[in-house]
Amino acid sequence: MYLDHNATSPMPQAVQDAVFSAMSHAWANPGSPHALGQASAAQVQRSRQTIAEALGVPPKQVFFTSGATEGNAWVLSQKAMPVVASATEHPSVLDWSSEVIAVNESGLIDLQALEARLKSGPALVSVMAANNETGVMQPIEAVYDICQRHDAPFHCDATQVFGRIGTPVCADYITVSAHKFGGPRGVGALITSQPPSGILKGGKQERGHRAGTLNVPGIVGFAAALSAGQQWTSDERDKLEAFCKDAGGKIIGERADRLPNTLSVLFSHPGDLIIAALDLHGVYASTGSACSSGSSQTSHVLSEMGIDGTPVRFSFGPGSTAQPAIQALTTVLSQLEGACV
Amino acid sequence: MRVVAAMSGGVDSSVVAGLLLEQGHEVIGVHMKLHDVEEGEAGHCCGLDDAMDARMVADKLGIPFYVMDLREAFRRAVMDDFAENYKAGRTPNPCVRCNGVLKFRVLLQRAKALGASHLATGHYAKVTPEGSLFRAVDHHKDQSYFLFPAAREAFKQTLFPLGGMTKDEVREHARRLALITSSKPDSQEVCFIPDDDHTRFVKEHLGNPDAAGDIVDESGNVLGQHDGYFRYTIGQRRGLGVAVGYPLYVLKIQAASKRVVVGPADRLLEQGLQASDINWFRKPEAGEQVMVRIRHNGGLIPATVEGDDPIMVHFQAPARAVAPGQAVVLYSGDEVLGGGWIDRAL
Repeated sequence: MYLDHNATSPMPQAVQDAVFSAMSHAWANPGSPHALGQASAAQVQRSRQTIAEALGVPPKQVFFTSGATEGNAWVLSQKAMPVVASATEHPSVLDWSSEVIAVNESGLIDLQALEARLKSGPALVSVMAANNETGVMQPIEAVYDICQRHDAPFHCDATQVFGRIGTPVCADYITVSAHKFGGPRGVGALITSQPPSGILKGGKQERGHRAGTLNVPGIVGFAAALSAGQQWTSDERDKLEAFCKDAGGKIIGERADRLPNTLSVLFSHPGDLIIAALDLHGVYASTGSACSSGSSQTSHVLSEMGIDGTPVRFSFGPGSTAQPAIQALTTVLSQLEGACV
Repeated sequence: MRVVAAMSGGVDSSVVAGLLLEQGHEVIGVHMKLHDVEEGEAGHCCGLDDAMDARMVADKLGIPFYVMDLREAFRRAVMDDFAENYKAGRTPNPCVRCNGVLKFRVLLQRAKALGASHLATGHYAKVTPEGSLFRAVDHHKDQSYFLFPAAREAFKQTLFPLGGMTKDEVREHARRLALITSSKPDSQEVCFIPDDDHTRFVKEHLGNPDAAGDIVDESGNVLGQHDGYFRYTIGQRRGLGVAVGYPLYVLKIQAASKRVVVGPADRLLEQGLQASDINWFRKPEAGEQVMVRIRHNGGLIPATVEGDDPIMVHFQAPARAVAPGQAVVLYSGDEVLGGGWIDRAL
């Protein structure tokens, strides 16, 4: 049972078919003037419309990127003003920030501190819609209100919510990625009415704002994943959460609004060990961010929340069920007790 | 049976995983992430590239593979201990500490937690099902010296599949199994000090304490100065920078006064040593002659032993350079009787 959808979510058949079809029939360069190129360009535009509709913005506000990391860099690398980010942002945001605003023990941004900071001078604010490790959802509307009151441009990394749940995201810049909700990897978008100066130079693609031949199959798959209408619900997550609490687990961000699919839980045993043991039972979870698990970095997200330890993150997807995880955890936790780890 | 193979990413542990799999065991590869030190050019255990090499071997063999983050335990048990020993004027052995605390305690527990009955490593040594420890068949490669602090109970659940092989045979197995690590060089230096500059590490780890002081002879006459007593070990000749017309060796390191005492070679000869924190596998009979090793690349010295812990080891003939902080391991033939940490020369 795959419970690591926050790392990446597999493509449903309809999306795979759309990507494959685009590779077969829309392989020409959409910048080419001939019929084949124009057919590719039309595919891109139809995809752009699908994505724009989902967001309720005009298609010209959708700029395709290679993913959220690029979109974040595009917005945040401008150096026009200091970047102020919440302390639990993804590293692809945090690494551009010059100041951070603390979060409370639930992982929620300190709005008063944000307001106080904005009173003191201009800043570009970056706050994620939902955290990849904990699923904790930030009060984006309140953040946007504060930013507007102080004329501060607001960037929201909506990677973990977009395409999954209908929560509207209001921001001057929204970055998203396709592969978190069933699209292919290597494609995403920046949504904005005021595109910042491009960081990829050398071509007139995306109306001169983002150079590079468009990834047509990726873009088609991106739109197809949105159209696939997969359901991201909390029922199965809630079942596993109840089990974990009974088993003595501490739920991270329990009192905050969280993504319906995410459960981050601390057990008294090391998370990386539990994950290895679950893996042997065919249950695939992770300790937190896939970006850092290879190097076993201590999570900055948890330490900012004042939590010590390595959690187990279960992130459900469409069709995931809790039962295999409950069964495996039952065995694994008793095995761990026996080994006195 | 289910066996966890500790896979450092080197050729030895790669072969261990491959051989156990061939023998029909269910093998799980585990790589210990021990520190954040960047790898140097030479291959050594525990760096990120080594983790990738281990992962590629596991993938080739088709076995599950996990990286376990033991950095915190390693820092406390091995790196801190290493620096503190040097600070106290002793010469530590971090590999022995790592085996005692990390591999055959923490990792073994984790192996059990994964449902394994045994932990296997690429050490050149032999264990019996009763948990006794013996030297490897290849005496030149033998690593039993490094293994003495592990509990007999731990060794009952340990496999050393390479204990009966030579290094050449191991490399031959690696080639036969087409493992990418087959021609990887052996690791030499301390894994968390890839530049081999332990003085730099100790200074940084301890926050650059002032360790400079005098180099003196046995009568206390000042012969010169040193910029930090951490860089010296008993018996060391190089790096003293003082000349008196005959070769000088480090005889003592006096941490409290930061003095390094030097003298001629014959003053390094000692009659015996005291050691403590003894781990016994089998206590020798009263008056039984044993062989002792007082440094990892040193020879076996005939001796007799008194006491349980601490022990007094009396050399049959004077032996050179007894370094406090190093391990002393006691043998009877190929059998390891026990070992401990050297407190002082007698």
